[in-house]
Amino acid sequence: MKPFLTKVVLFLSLFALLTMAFDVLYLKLRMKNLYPELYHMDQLLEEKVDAILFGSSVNRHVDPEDIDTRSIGELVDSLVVKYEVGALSHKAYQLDMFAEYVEYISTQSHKPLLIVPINIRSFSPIWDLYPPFQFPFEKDLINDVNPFIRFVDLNKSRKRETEYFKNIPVFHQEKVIGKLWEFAYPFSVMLDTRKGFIVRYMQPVQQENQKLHSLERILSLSEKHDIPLIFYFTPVDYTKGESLEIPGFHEQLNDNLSLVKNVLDRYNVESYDLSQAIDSTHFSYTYIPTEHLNQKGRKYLSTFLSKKVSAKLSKN
Amino acid sequence: MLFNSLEFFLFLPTVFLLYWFVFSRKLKAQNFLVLIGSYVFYGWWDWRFLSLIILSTIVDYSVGLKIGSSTKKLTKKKFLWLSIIINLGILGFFKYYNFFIESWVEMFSLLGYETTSNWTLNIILPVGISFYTFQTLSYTIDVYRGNITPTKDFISFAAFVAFFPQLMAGPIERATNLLPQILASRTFSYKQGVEGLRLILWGMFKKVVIADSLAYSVDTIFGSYQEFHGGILLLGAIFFSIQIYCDFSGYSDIAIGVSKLFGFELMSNFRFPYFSRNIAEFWRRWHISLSTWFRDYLYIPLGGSRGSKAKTLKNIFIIFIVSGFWHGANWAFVMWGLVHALMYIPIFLIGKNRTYLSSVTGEDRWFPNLKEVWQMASTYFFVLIGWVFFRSESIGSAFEYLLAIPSTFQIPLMFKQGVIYTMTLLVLEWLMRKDERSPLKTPNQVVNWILYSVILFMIMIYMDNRVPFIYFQF
Repeated sequence: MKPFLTKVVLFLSLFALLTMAFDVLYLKLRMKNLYPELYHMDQLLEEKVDAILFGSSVNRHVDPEDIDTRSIGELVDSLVVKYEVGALSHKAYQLDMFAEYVEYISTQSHKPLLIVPINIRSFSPIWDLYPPFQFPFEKDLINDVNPFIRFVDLNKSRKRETEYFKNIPVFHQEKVIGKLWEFAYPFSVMLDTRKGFIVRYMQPVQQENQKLHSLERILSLSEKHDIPLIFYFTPVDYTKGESLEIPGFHEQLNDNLSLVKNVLDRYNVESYDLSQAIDSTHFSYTYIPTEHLNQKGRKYLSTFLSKKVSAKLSKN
Repeated sequence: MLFNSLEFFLFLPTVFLLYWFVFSRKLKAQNFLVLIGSYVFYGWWDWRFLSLIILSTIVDYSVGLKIGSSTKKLTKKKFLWLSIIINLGILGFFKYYNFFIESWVEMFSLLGYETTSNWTLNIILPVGISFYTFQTLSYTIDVYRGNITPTKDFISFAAFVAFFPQLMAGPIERATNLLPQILASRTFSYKQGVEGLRLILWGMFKKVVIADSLAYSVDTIFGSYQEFHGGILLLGAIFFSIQIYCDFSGYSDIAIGVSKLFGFELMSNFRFPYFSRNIAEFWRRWHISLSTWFRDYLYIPLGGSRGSKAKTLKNIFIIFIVSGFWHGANWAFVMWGLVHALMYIPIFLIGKNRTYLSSVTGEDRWFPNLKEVWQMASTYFFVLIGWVFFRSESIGSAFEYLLAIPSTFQIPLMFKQGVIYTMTLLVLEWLMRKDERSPLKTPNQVVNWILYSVILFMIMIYMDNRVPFIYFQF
């Protein structure tokens, strides 16, 4: 028994050491390619930019017919001439990840103005609880968690469509109308725009929603560390939603917005509701309501944001 | 408790250390620890269903003693039937009750009678019930046949029924193999311990890295098969064949490996079935503990191949269909059994069902010869057809799936990762095909340690403990 246990312990110790060393070395060499957003954040802070515009895939150019393919970040930077504006976006970023970055910035000496988008569809379980959108490994990296724990956490980032996630009930206001699986995954369903709107906007946001907690976290961190913030609600293709004649579409959208606004009001923070500011001609997506904007939409949004950013920075 | 969970990674070393360091002096205490450990392991899922295991244990323990003490054949037979009725009654109620009610309702509505299925119940299928029911039944049947003396040691018998490494999904052990090991004192063997850890590692790799990675592609393809062309559907079927093999044989390897750590030798359950050269060989290499169970306790009592050809054919049909039905209350499983029966019968009729009894494909060669390649490919092709029935929601959708493969075939350009996982598994298995109980073993210790490290590293990266083993549902 003794040689057996000795060898097992020796092997596991060696293995732990090797994996930790590998993890540190690998990340050092590959961080720029593996997690470009994390690398980019350090660059922006090093350059001491005046403002950082957070964003998701909405920030980016998607419409093949666009002539101006610049992202919202690039557009805002070009419009705010007196200040340096950087942008940090990832196709699935939302308030959870923004909260991690705010926490990271709170530990830095330079604290730029942060422009934080609130995608109301990210409060829907299809995004809020979607396993690949939880970013546990990135969160650990930002928070400089012990490499071995971080390594173990990697498995969480690989979690795919589990039974739990697939079986989350889908609500149409108060009524359960199915499970997420039926609304999201079979390809035929993904092509159903109406179902896409229902699953993204008709779910009543609950107090325990992860995104609400992250919003609270951002607000309290900002208050505690004196980090300037501007929030805005990203535009929803509400005219499309109306045209689909989904019962209670406006009411539920407004109820969800109100719940989030109540949190913002408690902190008396600068925020703008653009959720119903632009019509369908500003959007570009196929079937699934992604809030992706065409060049007209991006131009509207960047013009609006650049004015607010300039005003805020000049006040400071 | 799942093997691929954090709880099990804490449970196993705890029980192992207690077993060899605290309870090692007294056999009874060691067996008691195995029993308690097994109940904790099972109860972790749902403690209420422990009552069913305990009921089966009490019934078969008592029946065993009654059969053993009785001198009259009729009395022995009565007690045997009592055991069969109670065990299969519990299994039938939990697994098949709703299925039969729904099938009756469907049949009546087809005949034009208006009826509703108010008789169906909200029943949870207890995990592993099909496995431990067959295991404990083997005891009473073997006692009846005089193959084993009934034990008076209740704790040991209860530990045999609930033995945690193989409780949830087999191998379905025979009392003649496992019970004497439980009744005899054990000593720790270094060689057995290392073999056990190697099997655990390899089983985990198959489950966590290969099976769980393929699960997503399989779910997507089978879930929306109408949306894909034939090339993708063919890939879906191949991926499922690898997924179910890695999932189930992975569990068996872990079960055998864990048992070795405690000084027990369980029977092999898989011997590289996809390298079989005909369907009869496949069934000697796939889920061996179940196919031999059906052979010994159903096929042979029915007369086996001793009577006329017609009678043997009938017996072959019966065991394959019962085997399909054992997997679940769904006509698609029955169809799967039927497909295998139809594939087996021609082999039987030309007298080739007893070929390749002990040899290995490509024995003493690096690569198979052309004849073997053809044999393996054709066997695999038929097995694949069976898997489509096994995985599909219904017989109708399985036919649609199969017909769409040739009619809409295009070269698949998606799911490339799945192809990599499949090829990786097949190459590794080919290299190890001579001995299913010694995976990941090379003559060089340093190479072995590097191999273990790489495998463990991959398991850690891929670990997703919320994906249960497929065979838990059976």
